[in-house]
Amino acid sequence: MDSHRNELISLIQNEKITPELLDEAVSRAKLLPNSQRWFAFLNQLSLWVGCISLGLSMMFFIAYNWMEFGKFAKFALVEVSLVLSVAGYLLVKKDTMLRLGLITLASILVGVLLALFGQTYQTGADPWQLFLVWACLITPWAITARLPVLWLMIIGLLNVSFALYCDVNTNPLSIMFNTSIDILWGLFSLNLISLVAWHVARQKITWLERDWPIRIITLITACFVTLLAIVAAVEDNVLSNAALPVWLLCLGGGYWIYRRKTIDLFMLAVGCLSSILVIVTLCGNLLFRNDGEFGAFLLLAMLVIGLGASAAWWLNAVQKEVEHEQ
Amino acid sequence: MSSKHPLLDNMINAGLLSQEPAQTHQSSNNVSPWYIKILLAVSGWLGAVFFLGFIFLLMNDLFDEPFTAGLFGVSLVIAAYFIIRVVHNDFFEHLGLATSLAGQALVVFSLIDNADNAVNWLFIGIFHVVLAVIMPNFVHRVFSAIFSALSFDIACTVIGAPYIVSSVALILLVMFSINEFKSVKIFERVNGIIYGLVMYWLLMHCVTPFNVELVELLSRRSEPLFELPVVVIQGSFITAIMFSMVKLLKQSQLSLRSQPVAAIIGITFVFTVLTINATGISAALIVILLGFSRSNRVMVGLGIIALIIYCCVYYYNMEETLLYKSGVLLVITMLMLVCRLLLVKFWPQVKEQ
Repeated sequence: MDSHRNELISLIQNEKITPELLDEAVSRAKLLPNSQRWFAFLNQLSLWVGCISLGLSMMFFIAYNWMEFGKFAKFALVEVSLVLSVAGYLLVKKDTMLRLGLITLASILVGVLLALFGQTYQTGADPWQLFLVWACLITPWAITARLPVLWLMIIGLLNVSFALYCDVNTNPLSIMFNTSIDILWGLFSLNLISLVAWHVARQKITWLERDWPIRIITLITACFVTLLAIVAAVEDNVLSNAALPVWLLCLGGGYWIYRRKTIDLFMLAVGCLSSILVIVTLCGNLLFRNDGEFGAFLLLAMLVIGLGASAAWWLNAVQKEVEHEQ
Repeated sequence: MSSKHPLLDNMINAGLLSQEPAQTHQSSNNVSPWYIKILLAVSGWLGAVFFLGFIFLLMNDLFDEPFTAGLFGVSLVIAAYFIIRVVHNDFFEHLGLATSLAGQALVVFSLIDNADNAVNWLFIGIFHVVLAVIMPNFVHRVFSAIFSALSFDIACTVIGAPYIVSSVALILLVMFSINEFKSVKIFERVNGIIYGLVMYWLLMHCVTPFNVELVELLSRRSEPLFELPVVVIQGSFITAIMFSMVKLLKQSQLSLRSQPVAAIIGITFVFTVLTINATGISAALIVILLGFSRSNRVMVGLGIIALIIYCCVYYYNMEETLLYKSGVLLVITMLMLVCRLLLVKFWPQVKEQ
């Protein structure tokens, strides 16, 4: 979208554009896509929706376990589709959208094939193994295809696999430590490792440079660490639990990377929201413990409003600083 | 080297704006990115919850009498209006937002005592429409637009015409979107309402459990006045989608009589009819198209997120078998691939990316 929509809105809100100039400004902002942009967009949209819905269609079909459709026919259906999509990926011209769509479809079909295998032969494997094997099998394709969506899919599969593992297993190190596994800590660690790895990799790999995948991983990691800190605060477990120091470390690390080294307002906003939630939980826990419900609500309301306003003020100041530097 | 303010430079070069340096024009920039607005919305909403708790404990007796609670709620909303309008400061804007949301909750509480009364929901809807128009705050307008559409939806569900409001909301959304830059004065108002309507539309069609639970919760206490035939409800959905598509095509630089446009209209109709039992897919796709047609990345992003959520929700939807759902998805695949084939065929002037 090579339009100047945001700049146009900024000029309108700053009253730089008079009503007489509005139509001219809208036209110069290239707000309405031309025929070429429409073609490119519809082409991408139809391809991605088509490929992903084909993969999902196959997944739903296998999950239905239609008895009239024999097991060999099911295997043939999934395997032929898989082979065709991989063959298509190899045969189609490089650097085309179709090629990326085909490898994504193939990656979904691998999971469908694994599910069909488990369903047919009743292997006794736990569901977490399916997701882990799925993630491992598509990793070589993710490396060769150079597609961030596939890496995000692998991270998602690992998250699901770990969550399912925790459902049925204890800590693999329980012989040594005799502790149960904490799902929140596990998921936080997994996503933090992914985040750090992505950060390191994007310094050297150009196709990982786009902001949106790393923002998704940051958001998920921030959710888990915030949840850990909130749980520690609610359970009155702040001093005997590492959650709060770890949360503070993450916050400090995020500030250093996204404010000092580079500036990323999105990441800073995530940090601000996390801070508001944790501080309010801590204060709420403290205030309600002393049976001070009456004033506590008002104090908390003022605290939330004050913190929210301060965060918005600070983020806007950082934004202006960035614009000034430009 | 490319300019940091291409539109501004373009307008200055064309003599439409004064020759001030670009920085002077941008220095008073008060436009926050969407994620800062989400931060404001979350803290405003959380503040309102605590504020409401404070009022509840302070004036417990107030809640025994719905009329007094409603009156107090209206006073809070009026106070919030002046706080937001008079004091231009982040803290007071937040305070105003939280006060207004708490006041609205009191007004709704006072009126929903008789929840099966559609007229009450209608009043609540009108109340929120007024707030969406007059409240001088973007986040407030988004909230008010969502609440007003939801209230009208509940009113129609109670009388026996569910989902009709969502079709009307889509038509309004498209009309507001294509006219958002018609006037400098109304832009601020329309912008917040657009996002409110988008969120309502996606909530109703793509987050199915939310929709089903809401309808069940609010309509179980009463027998509907009549039962609108399913065909009418589905017809209104298809009409809204087709209307939106035609409006979007009129806005584009394509001739309405051209072959590609005819093909797009035909495919849209077939697609909407064939996926009528999976409305979340058409609902998310139309938002993505609308967002693209206005170069609105946030709207496109909301549509994509809604589509992903709907794919997950659709798997667990108990109304259809997995075999049926698999068939629907296969039909979508075929239509999309035909669509792509036709695109490449009818748009030969552009090479494939």
